[in-house]
Amino acid sequence: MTVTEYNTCVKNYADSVFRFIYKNIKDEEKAKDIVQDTFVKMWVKVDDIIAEKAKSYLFTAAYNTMIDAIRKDKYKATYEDHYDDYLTTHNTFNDLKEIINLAFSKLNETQRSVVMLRDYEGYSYDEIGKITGLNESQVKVYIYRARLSMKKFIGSYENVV
Amino acid sequence: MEININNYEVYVIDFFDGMLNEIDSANLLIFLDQNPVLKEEFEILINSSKLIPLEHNSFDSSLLLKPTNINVNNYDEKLIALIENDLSQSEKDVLLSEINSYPDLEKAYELFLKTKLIPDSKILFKNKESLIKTPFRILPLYIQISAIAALFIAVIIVFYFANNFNSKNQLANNEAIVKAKQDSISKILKSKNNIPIQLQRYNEKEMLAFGGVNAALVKKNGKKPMVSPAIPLNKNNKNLFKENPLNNNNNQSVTPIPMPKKIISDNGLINNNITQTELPKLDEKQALKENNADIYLPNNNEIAFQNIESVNIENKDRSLTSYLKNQLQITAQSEVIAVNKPTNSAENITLAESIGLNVLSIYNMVSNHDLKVKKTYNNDGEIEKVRIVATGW
Repeated sequence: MTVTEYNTCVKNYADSVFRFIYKNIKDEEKAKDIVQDTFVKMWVKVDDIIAEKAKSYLFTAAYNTMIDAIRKDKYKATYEDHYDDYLTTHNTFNDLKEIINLAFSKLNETQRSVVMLRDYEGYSYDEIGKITGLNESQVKVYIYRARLSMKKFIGSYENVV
Repeated sequence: MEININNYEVYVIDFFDGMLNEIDSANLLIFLDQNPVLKEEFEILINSSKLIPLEHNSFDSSLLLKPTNINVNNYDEKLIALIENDLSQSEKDVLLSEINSYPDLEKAYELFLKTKLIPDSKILFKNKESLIKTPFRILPLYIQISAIAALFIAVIIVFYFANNFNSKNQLANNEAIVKAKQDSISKILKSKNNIPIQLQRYNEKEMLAFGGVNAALVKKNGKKPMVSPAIPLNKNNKNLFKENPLNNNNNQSVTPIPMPKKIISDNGLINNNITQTELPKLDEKQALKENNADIYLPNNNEIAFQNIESVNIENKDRSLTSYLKNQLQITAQSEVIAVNKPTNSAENITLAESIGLNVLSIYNMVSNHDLKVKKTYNNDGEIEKVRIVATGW
């Protein structure tokens, strides 16, 4: 991959990768660090990476780095606390988006990742599997269960509202 | 096959799975009527396996037992598959038609649609410029090391040549400074008649000789002389050292040999009987100039001695000899010119000849008060005149 192609990847995918990480860990600064680390890793291996597979490389590297950070249990509490605090102060949701975000927050990190890779980036089950280290069937099950969980959550809140 | 007590359970299961046709279903019901106990169990089984609709969803009861691709047990999966685009086109069409037919199914479908996330365009990575790289490639390590080594060698070479250049420049500067100083010294030493003195350059031995008869004495005898000689200059400001004074071919000890001096005397014969009035007075300056002499010895009219130095009978070896040799620079090689030689008394020993012969004679004459020395100093403390007068001959 040339330097020009690398810079193109920065322009095209930096936002996507950041959004993917940030929606997972809900820590802007740490998300920035993970994105920067990801691109540094990519730059180090710039000669070995094919431009067509740069996007998947970025998301794979970012996902692995994010999982390592999450497993340190630094962000789980932060993520749940974010919405738990919200629920304690807000008895009702004025915005469907908030309900959806809350439903999304109830998923585990793997479900969140596969759903975002599916919905945000349009990856196939196989591609998602390569990024997350899962097989195709596992990815499908995670997505189905995630959607079902979110649908039940959203349905219950909508009925209440 | 006829339904009996041994195979009725199979028919019951098929009935609940919806796989029993109408004839077999009727036969099963007839068998159960004939067996009240079994019929009671069948009814209990029917009541307990009846599906309960979702709390907030109510489906058409026709879906309960409808052997279609979607039912209450699998409608979630089917709807998710529809959202994920995992169904074939025909399956999609069927499912969409059923969604349109059943409001509850449609509502469920809408909830599933909401689970499909939409990217938030407001979430952006700031400062992308920090990730941008300049268009140069990372050089291999061996090239980086080679470049550093080449740069280091270049620096050493430049430093070496710069150092040599500076040394040469410094040498040239030093020579220029020396020449300038020599020029300034020459100017300082100009005579009253504005006759320039040309300084000669001497090597170390020459300088030793030049600056020091004393130094030579120190070397030879290890004795420090009592007086340090100044550079002797005659009235004409002639440097008495005209040539290399060294005359030591053996190069053993540095024995300074002053240039022989010309000493003129207007009366080589000291005769008490001759009075000043009788002898013509010789112009000292003229006499020196005409004879290119260095020292003028007047007649014996100079009786009064002043500043007689180092005339000490007891220390005569050191004093007089040193004085004569160092201060007057008179040696056996000194040339004495006698003018106005007395014509009477050939037996009289001329002072000039005596002086010219050897210092010992001079010494003897001095010790015997026959020879006296007088020095006159100028304002700078330098010897201006020297007179050696012999008396009592």
